[in-house]
Amino acid sequence: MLNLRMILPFRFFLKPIRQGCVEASAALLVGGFIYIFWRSNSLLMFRWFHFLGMDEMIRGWRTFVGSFRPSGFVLYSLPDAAWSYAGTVLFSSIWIGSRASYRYFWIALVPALSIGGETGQAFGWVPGRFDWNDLYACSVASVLALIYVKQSFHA
Amino acid sequence: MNKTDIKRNIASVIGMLVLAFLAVGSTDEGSSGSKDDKARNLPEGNIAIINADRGTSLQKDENEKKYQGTTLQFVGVVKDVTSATHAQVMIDSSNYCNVEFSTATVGSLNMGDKLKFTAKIKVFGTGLLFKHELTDAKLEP
Repeated sequence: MLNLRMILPFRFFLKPIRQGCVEASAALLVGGFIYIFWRSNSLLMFRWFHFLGMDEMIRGWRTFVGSFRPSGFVLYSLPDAAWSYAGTVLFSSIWIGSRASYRYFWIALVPALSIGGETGQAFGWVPGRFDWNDLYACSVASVLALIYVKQSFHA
Repeated sequence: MNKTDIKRNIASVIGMLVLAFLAVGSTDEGSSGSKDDKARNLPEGNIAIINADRGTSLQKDENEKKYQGTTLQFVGVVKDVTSATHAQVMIDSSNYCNVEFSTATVGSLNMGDKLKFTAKIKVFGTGLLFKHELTDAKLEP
């Protein structure tokens, strides 16, 4: 009987990457819904939603959750942390088992972008407003992601 | 570079493109001094006013009901003082408020003075053409 796993392109690391994708998607969904529900509708994504004809649906969701407003940390820092976590989990799970020296580049890329970007804001090198909470959240999320991958896949 | 690593590289590039796409989507259409960026670290009253500015008339009505009777904290810049109890205050560049103070405390203020005060939202205006109305205001140190 044909084993489907043998013909899939990522058969050598199907399990870690699949788990990594699920983890990353879940984290991105959490961050994404915070943006959709509570953040300013002047964000670019709302133009995309408008282009896709999703205005009514998004407005309905925002009205539905409108009476509840989470804390500033949840609104502004958690989505950044979710992005860091998602990227770190995704790339760590992709590169598990590889001996290529440049795997470290990919694994460190997202933490470097999020933590480096936030630090750059502190010095005015990157546009945006520096916030210690963002820096802590991204750092903790990246470390948690690495610990999670290491423990899950015994890397 | 073995075949598996090539596939890993391809998967990584695709993953990075997805993450970059999401990061771009979460940026503001304006510059770094955007409404969304400014909203953080602001008092609740300012956030209520800024959010009301974006809502429909129905949402403004709902917001008015939500905030009715609630004392909120505001910060702003004095744009005009018309009496000892009445000042026009700029909450942000597109939101001006007519503020009625409960005691005669604003007569000595000058244009450009920064204010921290508590007040109740009476009516949401449009911000510029029809100013927001705040009432029962008290200056804070």
